[in-house]
Amino acid sequence: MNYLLHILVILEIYILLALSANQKVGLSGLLTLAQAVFYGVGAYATAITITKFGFTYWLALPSAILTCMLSALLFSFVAGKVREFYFSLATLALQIIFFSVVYNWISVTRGSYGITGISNPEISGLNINTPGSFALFGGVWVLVVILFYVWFLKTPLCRLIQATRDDEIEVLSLGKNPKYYKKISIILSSIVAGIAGSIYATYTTYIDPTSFTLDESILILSIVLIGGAGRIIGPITGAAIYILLPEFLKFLQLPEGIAANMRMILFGLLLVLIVRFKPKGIFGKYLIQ
Amino acid sequence: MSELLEIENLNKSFDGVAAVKDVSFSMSKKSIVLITGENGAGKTTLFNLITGLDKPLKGKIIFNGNNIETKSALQISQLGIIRLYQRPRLFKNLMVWENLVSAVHNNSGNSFASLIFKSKVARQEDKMLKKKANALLAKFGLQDLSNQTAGELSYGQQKLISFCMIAMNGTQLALLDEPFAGLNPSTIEQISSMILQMRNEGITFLIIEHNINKALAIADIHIEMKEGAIKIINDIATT
Repeated sequence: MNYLLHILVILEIYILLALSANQKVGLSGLLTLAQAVFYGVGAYATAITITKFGFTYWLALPSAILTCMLSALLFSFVAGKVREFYFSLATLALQIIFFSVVYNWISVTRGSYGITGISNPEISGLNINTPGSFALFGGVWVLVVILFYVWFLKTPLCRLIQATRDDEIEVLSLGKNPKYYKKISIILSSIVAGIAGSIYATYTTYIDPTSFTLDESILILSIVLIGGAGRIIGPITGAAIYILLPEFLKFLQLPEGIAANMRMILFGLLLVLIVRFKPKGIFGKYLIQ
Repeated sequence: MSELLEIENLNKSFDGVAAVKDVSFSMSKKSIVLITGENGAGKTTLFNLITGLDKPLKGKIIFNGNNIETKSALQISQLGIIRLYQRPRLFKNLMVWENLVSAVHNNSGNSFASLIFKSKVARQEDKMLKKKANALLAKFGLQDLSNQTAGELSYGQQKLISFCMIAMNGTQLALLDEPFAGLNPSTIEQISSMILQMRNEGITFLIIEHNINKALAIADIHIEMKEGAIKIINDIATT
């Protein structure tokens, strides 16, 4: 039972990551290769404020969100000025810089040793330290983020973010600033990724740079590609496929080592099939270009 | 009639080759000015200068009494100058009514702060704008397109919708780059009638068009350009 609940927590984290990537990729058309950066910023900010400053989770979380917002704002000043391929290149650079910083800034991040002893969240004296309580805790966050997007997708601001995705020059021609809409999207996306990072850090109680690599960013992007961009259901489906695939493979009774590798092979195969036969993804509204 | 746009001795060159040479003319409010000329006559460069995409080497562009030649493209469009390109630029993944509502300048839902702090106002305004967009579509007989995705419309329909976006935007001056290009005669008639109707409602038009006969039928002034300079200015309304 604990194992299934553990899978559920991981699924919840990936749903949040996929929804955050969907904000950039699906709603803004910004092909990001650095979603793991904001996931990492959220995780590291949470871990550092808890272990170094003795913050509780409920103080560490706002700190993590604020750090994500500031880093996204800083990034958007540079990346907001470029489009399409050049934006992706900028995100790739950000990903490489981030990994180098967390790997080498040992006095703060402890580099490859990682940060241990990150305490679990508490609610009214109740310690959230079991897979069951974490599944509930993560589920609440997923619900909050989904409800936010149910509301946000209907707002005029979100419409203008999507209009900027479709044609930046036309948005400018209509007297609106496309950079502003890109900036808002990058910041919102980073907040959701930061929340996922914060949950991850307090759930595992240990983080190191290997969880926030370029591979992870590409994986998050692939989840959105498979599930489909632009709608809420797409990223959720993509995350469910990625996380639940190895569980289904267990029915085939493959050896543990092979099953783990099979997941990536099948996921890659699925990605190729999706790109070839259903380029918008399973539930996608928008074709990622 | 008062002058909406005044252009004085405008000059622009690229790598020493003059693209616009000493161009001067003015446009009164609610007028339709047609610019014609062969390829390379400087028409598009003139549009780029007025909309701020290029900066002039010399000369003035005065809009509503304010110099705008040093302003950015965004500042200029915010003043009420809109440009329609030859190929309609719609938000292809949005529905037609969403395109129209997105074209509205300065509505409350445009910013994150107003969305959070004036959420109710933004929502009400959005509902009202949707009604306005549908009424506008009905006015031009396009109501059936309201809930269609813009990218799925035909070229002609996309052109018609882009004109509705001008009407929604609350613009003062619309720069049209070959509005009749690639259209069948009935759609050209439809667009001509839309332009005249919008002019009567207060919008001024500056048009580049190669289909001279059709454009002359609606224009008040005809400017012919050659090699970057104005060759002839013909006041059609008085002739």
